[in-house]
Amino acid sequence: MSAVLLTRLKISDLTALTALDAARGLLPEGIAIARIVREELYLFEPEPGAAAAAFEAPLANAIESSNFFVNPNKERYRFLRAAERGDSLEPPDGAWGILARPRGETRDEGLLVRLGREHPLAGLGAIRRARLWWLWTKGPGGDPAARSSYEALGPVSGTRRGLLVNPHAEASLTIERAVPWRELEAFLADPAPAYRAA
Amino acid sequence: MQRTVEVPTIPFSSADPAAVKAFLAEAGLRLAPGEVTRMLELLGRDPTRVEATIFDTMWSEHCSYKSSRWVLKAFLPTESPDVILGPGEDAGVVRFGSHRGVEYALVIAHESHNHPSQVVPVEGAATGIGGIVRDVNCMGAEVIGVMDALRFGDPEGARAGSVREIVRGVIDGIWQYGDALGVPNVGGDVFFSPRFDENCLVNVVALGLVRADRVVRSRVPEEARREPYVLVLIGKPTDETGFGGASFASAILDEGAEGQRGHVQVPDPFLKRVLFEANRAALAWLHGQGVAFGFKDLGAGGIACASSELAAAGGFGMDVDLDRVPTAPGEYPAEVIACSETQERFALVVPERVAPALLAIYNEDYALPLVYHGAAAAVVGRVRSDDRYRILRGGQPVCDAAVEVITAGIEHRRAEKPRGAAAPEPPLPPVRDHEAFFRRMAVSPNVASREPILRYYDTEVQARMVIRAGEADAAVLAPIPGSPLGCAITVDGNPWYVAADPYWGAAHVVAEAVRNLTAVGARPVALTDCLNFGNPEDPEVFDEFVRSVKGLGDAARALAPMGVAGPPIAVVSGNVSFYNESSSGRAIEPSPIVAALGVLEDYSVAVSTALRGGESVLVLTGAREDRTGASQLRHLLTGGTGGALPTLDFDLERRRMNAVREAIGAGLVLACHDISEGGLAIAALEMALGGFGARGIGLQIPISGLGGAAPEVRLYSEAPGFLLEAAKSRLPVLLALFARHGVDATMIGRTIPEPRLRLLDAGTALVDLDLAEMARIRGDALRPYVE
Amino acid sequence: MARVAVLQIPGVNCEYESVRALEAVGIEAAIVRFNEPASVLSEFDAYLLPGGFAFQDRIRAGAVAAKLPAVERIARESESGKPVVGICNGAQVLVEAGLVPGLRPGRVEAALAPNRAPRRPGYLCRWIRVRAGEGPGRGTFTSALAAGEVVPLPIAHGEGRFETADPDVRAAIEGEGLALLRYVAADGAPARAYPDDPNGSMLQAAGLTNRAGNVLALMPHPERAAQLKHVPLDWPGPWGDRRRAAAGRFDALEGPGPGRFLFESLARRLGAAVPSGAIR
Repeated sequence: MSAVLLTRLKISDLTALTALDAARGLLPEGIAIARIVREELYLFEPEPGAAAAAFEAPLANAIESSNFFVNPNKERYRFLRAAERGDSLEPPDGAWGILARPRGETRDEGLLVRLGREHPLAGLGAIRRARLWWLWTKGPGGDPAARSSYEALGPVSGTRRGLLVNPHAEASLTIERAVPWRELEAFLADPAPAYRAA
Repeated sequence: MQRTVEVPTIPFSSADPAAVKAFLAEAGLRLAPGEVTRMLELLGRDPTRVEATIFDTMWSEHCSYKSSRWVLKAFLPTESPDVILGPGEDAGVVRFGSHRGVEYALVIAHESHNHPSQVVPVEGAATGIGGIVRDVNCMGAEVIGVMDALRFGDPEGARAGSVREIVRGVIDGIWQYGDALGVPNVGGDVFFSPRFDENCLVNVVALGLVRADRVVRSRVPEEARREPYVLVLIGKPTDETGFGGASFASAILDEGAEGQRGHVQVPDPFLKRVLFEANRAALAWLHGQGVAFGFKDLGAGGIACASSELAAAGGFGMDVDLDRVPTAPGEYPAEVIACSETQERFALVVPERVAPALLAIYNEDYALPLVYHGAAAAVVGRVRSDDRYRILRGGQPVCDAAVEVITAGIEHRRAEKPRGAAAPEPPLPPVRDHEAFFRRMAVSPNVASREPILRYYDTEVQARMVIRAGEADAAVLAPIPGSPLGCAITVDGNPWYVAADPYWGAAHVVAEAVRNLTAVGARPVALTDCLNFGNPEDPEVFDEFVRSVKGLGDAARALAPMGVAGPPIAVVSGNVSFYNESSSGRAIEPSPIVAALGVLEDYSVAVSTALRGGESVLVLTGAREDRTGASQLRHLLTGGTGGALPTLDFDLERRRMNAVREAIGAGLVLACHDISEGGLAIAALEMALGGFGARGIGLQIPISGLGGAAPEVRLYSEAPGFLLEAAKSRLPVLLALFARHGVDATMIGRTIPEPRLRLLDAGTALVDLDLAEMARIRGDALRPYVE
Repeated sequence: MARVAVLQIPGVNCEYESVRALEAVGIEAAIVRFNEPASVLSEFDAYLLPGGFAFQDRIRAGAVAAKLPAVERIARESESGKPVVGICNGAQVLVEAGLVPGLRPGRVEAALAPNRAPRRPGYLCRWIRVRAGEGPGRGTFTSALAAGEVVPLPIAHGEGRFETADPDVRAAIEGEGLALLRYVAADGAPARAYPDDPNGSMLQAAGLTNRAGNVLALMPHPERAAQLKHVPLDWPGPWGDRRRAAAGRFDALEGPGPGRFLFESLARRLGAAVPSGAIR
């Protein structure tokens, strides 16, 4: 079981605002979008045979007291220990999400090495990273219209189709309801399948 | 004349000392009690909160130079025939030369951003670059280079984790800002020492190019007597970021309470790039209209400082209307809008009649509001022909005073007390295995290759670079397309030298900087200084400060090409940074850092440190000397950093530099390197390895002829000098040139076909190493701290 | 006179040296702001999207700029065969706009992913070497190069790894010679490892064209190597030798550098009279 860190900007997120502007031009007739929030997700995986509890306390301290993961002046964060993270990742009220991770790399080796140099943590085996986009869309029937919104704003396949993910560099997953952590962990750890644009 | 105000004031005048303290604390102000008294005298009444905040900022050490001003004035030369504009505005301006009938000038500014970089390294360092490029841009110049001088703690010491995080964060901040801005990194230096563990130094230098007739002053022009002038604020929407040091500190504790904005200065190189382009168009348009105007960047003290200084410098007054200032979402108190240090902002003073067209350039052509939410250009004030300076909120003055009251400044005389003599340094233990020691020296943090850092910096953008950072002792640029005019730039400052001897150490800093210009063949035209010291209220620290400034000034006069008989190398810009100390009160090593700017009439003569090879010989000028104080040799052998510094004979060094410059200009030199940290041996290694192309040209040096000192002293003595590569056939001419200048020069080695460095003593090889291997281990040494 | 538009999208920062490099080969170059009427663009014979950080690389490098009306207009003009070159960030825009490789025009078939190099995350600025191959882009972009010529150029990017997740697209790129410029070692052999291969790009691609060969997405910066003075003094090989031999001769240093081939090839394609002299 892994520990999880989620960070987001608390100053104006110009990327999210720009994405919102662009999204309005891409969504099909009848679907409105009110807000986009961007989060960075870090999964801290224990070494084989170890437990996340071994490094969670010093990791929490590194997150809290250094600038390694979070600059408190412009970012806020949630650190979820393995034992306390609950069963699943839940979207915020009224939102659905797109989780995107680099296609080729399932582990961020560079970050692991840096962390080891600046904040050595015994028992930490891997860091896996992904980006989360939370979207507040509303279809004609008042529902989020997540499926068609994902097609319009998810993997980019043409200049008028897709925005937040380039499928040639990233693998992505929609999060329409609570997704079990185990499923997310598998998505972040497994090699991405080949992609063919429709 | 004293003005009354309708808005509430802080009742200092009726308060007892304890209450004064309480008022200051409540308002987050750092004015000293004596300064409150002076403020009341100047105003003739109690201040509003806005006024108190303005005085607090304007009288900060950073803005007022209240401790240092007299020292700088007394000891630093600031005028020479090269100088167009010396210290006083945001940047210094020097003559460059003419191309196709147009006179050009170079603009240079130098500042520190130490404390923010220690606390928030990425943003701190980035904001440093962001601030210094504004200082150059607001003189009307295009920014053509930035440099950074970095001083970090010991990355293997007691606080290694935190030091490494700061090293990496600062470098990330520099590249993330500079690369996005599109300004090449043209150099810098890095020094590691444990006394920077809890207080790193991030000094930044920016270089600009401007037509000499288009230098823009930071003042309301005289034409404002004849027609109405307005104040235009340009850039990021004002918010509370960077408002006062106190709010910065409390923001860190205030996790989660904030909605959409932070409390630190938040840099944005993208917006800055757009602003640079818009400024370029706007200034060209204003020049085309033939109107007089003033231009200034917004730094510490924000709108209030910039507007009052623009007004005072021109001899005018001003009304500033805070209700017209574009702000980020939220409600802000008047003092925040007036004084916050929101980044990426400029102010122009222009005739009212041109304002609408000017605003259109920013808001429509360059689409500020579209590319950055809330950014805009807006008219926010009006120039007054009297001396009255007012800030209005809701139609009410929240600041109302004669402008010279606001900009009057303040001065403090600090006590000086020489530090007691240091304990004598122990004798050096002998080096037994020379090759092993050489390897150790070559990979030690202060000597290892800077390449892992430099590769993060864009050295190529603008396509003006002729010799890059890391290829020679100074970078060389060809700033004007089609012109042979070149400029060279370097930044230096060995803190161990200054700690060992403030006067001579600082003089060595200047000598090293000028030597670096000389090594590429450039003539020095200006210096800038950033003086990083501890608490000036500590008499021993202040004594070191005064001695250092004397040393800088004397060296700047004596090392000018004609010496004290001719004009000095003028100090045209700079900055003083005090209070650099750890939480436990331990001050950093006294660290004057000097940037030097030089000119080449024809950049094509410039040489780098890389050997060219072929039938060539190596020439040394500068005798090796058995004074190893503050050297890397002493540090590696004993751990000490004190002791007697190498002799600095001003007149000999001046003649030596003149000879080297003349030899390079005459095409007699194939490569040149000055001798500094690590001495002759490391200089020779760097020449053999070359810059980053790493061709690797073999070199063999017998050191038998270098005096009678121990081999390690001959190899690693940091006594001033140069190594020059010359074609064998030109050696007699070269030696004769040195003889004519009355300067020593000796052939000490030659290039060899094998790609190896061989240092021989009495026929034995002390060092015989493969260059490819040395390139690899030297290149890898700093990687763990930066990658 | 052949006219090339250099598109200024907010955040780009190589527009001036790009203009200078074009002018040096006899092309009339003009900077066109992204928000000028798109019809202005139609008056030009070719287009250059310069390097920088268009729209701050928000979302992804090139992602926002790719959807601009100006880029859409350039895409339309390219269909008639007008040359388009995107350098560095400009290359990222062209890939995100589906112009390159453009097997099915308008479809995004590739990405410029973060550099992949052992122990070297993030932005990287250094000189590398490329070699041109045979492909549909040769006539427009590399005609000034001798066969097999090794060309030193600087790179400066954090996301320069050409990648496609579609095996058919990859096969077409390889089979049809769309990877026109590839990273090579000093001897001209394919780059096997860092630093010859600076970013792990598929097929060691430094520059990718479309099938018609009139659109090039190029990660290295030829405009920063347009003159001999730009070559590092200690660069090994023929270009370094030329640079060293020119020391002390201003006119020679102002003369052609290794990056000039792109602009010269383009000028020939546009029928411009290419001057041999230095940039003035």
